[in-house]
Amino acid sequence: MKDLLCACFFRLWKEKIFWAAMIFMAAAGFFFTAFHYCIYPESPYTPEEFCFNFHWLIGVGSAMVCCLFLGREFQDGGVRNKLIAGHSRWKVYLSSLMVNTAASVLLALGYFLTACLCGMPVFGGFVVSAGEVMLLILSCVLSVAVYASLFTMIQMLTGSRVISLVLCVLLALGLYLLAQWVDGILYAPALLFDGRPNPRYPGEGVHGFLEVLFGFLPSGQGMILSLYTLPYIPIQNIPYGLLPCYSGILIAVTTGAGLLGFSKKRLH
Amino acid sequence: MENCLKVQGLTKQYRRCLALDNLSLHIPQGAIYGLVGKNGSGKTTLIRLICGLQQPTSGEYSLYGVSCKDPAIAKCRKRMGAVVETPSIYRNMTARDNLKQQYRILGIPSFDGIDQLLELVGLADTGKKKVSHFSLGMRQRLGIAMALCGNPDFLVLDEPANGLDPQGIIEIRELILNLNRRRQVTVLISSHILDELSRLATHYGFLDKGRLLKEISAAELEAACQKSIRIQVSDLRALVLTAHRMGLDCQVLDETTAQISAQVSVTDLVQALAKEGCQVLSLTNQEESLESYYMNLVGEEQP
Repeated sequence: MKDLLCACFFRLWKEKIFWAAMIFMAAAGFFFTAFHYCIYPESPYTPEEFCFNFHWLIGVGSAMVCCLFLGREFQDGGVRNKLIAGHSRWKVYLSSLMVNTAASVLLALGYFLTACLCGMPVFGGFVVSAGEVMLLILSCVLSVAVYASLFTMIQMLTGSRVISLVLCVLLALGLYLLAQWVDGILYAPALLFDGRPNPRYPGEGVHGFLEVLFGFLPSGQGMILSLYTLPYIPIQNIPYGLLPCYSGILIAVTTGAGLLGFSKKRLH
Repeated sequence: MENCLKVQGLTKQYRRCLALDNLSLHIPQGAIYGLVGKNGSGKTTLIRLICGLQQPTSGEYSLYGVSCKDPAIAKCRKRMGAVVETPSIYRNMTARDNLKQQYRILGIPSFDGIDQLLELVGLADTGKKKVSHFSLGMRQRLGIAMALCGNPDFLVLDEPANGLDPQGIIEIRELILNLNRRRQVTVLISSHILDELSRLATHYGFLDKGRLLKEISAAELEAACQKSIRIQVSDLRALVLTAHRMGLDCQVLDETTAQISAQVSVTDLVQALAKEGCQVLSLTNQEESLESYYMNLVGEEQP
């Protein structure tokens, strides 16, 4: 495993797609924080918001890097080579997952650091306790790992660089749009201006289900985490402590399914 | 001689297609084993199974005595190197970086042998040139160099001469012979170029429709190949009569030339023809090639 990780990280270091995505994420972190300052210089904007505000970019960014990086393994025969060299399939799969996760987390870190460097001097430091910041960071890392886990599974099962890239980008966009849609429903007021019940407002059962779904989706988690310090969060019972557990469940399920499929996959 | 690879009753079924049908073969240590068969005969499927890329439907194989059903087979595969169809090389890296990557995958701590490997396959002067700019022959040679990382005892090459120019084919042949003779590397080669294979192989396995038609050593093949002489004379009638008297099978090719099958004492024949006043104008040895042997073998199997 150590040998495989060493080889994978060496290749990641040499991967231009990764560095291009890294520069893009870092530039985005700087740009959007600076943009917010230029438009609303007086409005309160905490690092908990601007540092974790990469959720809408990380899905597509991670999809592109994971598929193009890992897809090369299939395209150039790297996976085949590792198996012939005597590595078991589960080791090949897990090493790929770890490198994809590291790449995705590094992309998020690129945004986080430049947003911190740009935003903290003008908007100030973290307003919540160190423990809470650590929980936010852990939750963010795990939600990004969910993306990496999903995209690794798709890439390892399809084996095609192009097909997996299209599938993963569409999935990332789909997850983002789904989270936006759920968010819109959760934000909808129960009553209209004239006091009549809002027909778009879901019933209690549906509302509860959507809350759990919102917490389960990595895109939804990203939105929840970037809203941590906002006073008007419409979701009454956000189980912040459960978010890492949700991510853990998703990672375990996707990795298990991926391992099972890859162990039976016919390679050429 | 101990077997490097032993295949017993190996079957591989892809949905409705039976790619390998109860195949059994043995590759002795130190041999250059030529796998001969037309497209779809099961050569690449066999190689994929041996390399662990796919699982057999039934049957088994053992590598250096370790069964494919034993988890230790993965460790045993470290003793083998392979180029399956296209070489497994990263196109966005240089030849040297590719070899370094292979060393890392194999867990070899030092990159000391890389220069010798590049020298061995004639890629020492490629510098910072990316593999994407390599010719097909250069990629093939780099693929072999990758397979040689870690000094394997068993080398599996699937169509190594594909895309190579005549010079490249000669170089690869020399390389394989060199590895076999100097380092005692056992080699399994599948190839369509039978003439080229006949210059290398010490053992042959003939495949057709997923079945092994025949397994034979090069020495046995040579003995089995029908020998004949082609003789040009001044009097063809005298030649036919003389051959008939000597009990030889004589086949007339044109007005002056005939082919005599089976082993012939050239001295006796020439002396007998001289007595009849017939002059021998030319005489050449004819030997059945690997190609015609294979064609005969496949022809016998056709319904």
